[in-house]
Amino acid sequence: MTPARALVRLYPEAFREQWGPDLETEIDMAGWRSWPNTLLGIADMWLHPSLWPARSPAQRRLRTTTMAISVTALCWFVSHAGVEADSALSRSVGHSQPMSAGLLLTLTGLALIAPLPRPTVAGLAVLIRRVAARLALPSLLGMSVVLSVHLGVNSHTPLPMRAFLLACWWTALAVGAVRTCRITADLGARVVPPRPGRLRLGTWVLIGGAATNAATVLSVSLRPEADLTAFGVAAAILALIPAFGLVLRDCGRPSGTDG
Amino acid sequence: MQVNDSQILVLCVLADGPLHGYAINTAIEELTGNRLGPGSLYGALARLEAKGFVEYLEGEGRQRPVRLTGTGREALREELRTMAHVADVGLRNLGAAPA
Repeated sequence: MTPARALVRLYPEAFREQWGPDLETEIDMAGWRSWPNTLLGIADMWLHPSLWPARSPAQRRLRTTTMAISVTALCWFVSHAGVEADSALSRSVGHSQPMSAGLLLTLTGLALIAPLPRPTVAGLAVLIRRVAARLALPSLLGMSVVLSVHLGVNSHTPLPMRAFLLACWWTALAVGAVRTCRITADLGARVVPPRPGRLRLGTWVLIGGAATNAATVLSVSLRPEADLTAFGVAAAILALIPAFGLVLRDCGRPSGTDG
Repeated sequence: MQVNDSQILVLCVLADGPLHGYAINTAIEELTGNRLGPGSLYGALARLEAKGFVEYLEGEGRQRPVRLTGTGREALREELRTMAHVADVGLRNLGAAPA
């Protein structure tokens, strides 16, 4: 594989399908000096899914929605992993009211931006089949771990077995989060994406949820007995929040574009 | 301004007729003396297409020509008028005659 072809393969698929051959020729002719500019272009395209070639404005909005859901999933995963992995943090904020408020805001935001299935029996059936197919594996894996714990895994269980169950649990959560995002991306014309106003409102609510979680975790890290893990988790969530700005920018323009 | 510098250049060269990506950059090189980087060129094309200013046509080979739409032509005319006005005022303020 030539370097030009390898670089083109890093672009999103929809972009490659339309511009791939032209882009490959351009990179080939321009030589290695064009590689940094190409890499910046690749990052630019991944950060702006609404710009990828699309058949309709609705398809662009669905991609923007998928990005909002993906950023939310990442924020949730970071926050959940931090709280679960650090026992002090778990004791401090695990089921606290501010964390519950953050979760409530996140769920409200997701409900606001959720693409709606077309109101037909066939459309609903396809949606249910797609959700079931995507989430069956992580759900089964997660349920197996919960069942194993209830059936007697405790501190006397051999360490490798406990480590295996822990790995299965986190794999189930990570795969579940990724597949949830892919469900949205895969549905295409089978669903109606949110209108820009609803998407914008939902995104602001999601930002509120992520910020609430970050502030709650950050408050723990700023106590006299400083907790570096808590600080790291809060910093990671805060670093992800600007990505919601890209969603707001994409849904705030008449044609869903920027620049 | 609805478009940035790279997009203006692409629109300018497409005003003369449909071109495919490599030919667009060659025309830009003839116009300005420099080629756009691949990331900048195709980023500009993606943005212009999303705005409905350009559309791609079915090509004979692997490469697909791009052409300016009516909306793109109107947007380019508007941008160039604004730029010409800015250039006139700037040159007048510098005491130089407009080109």
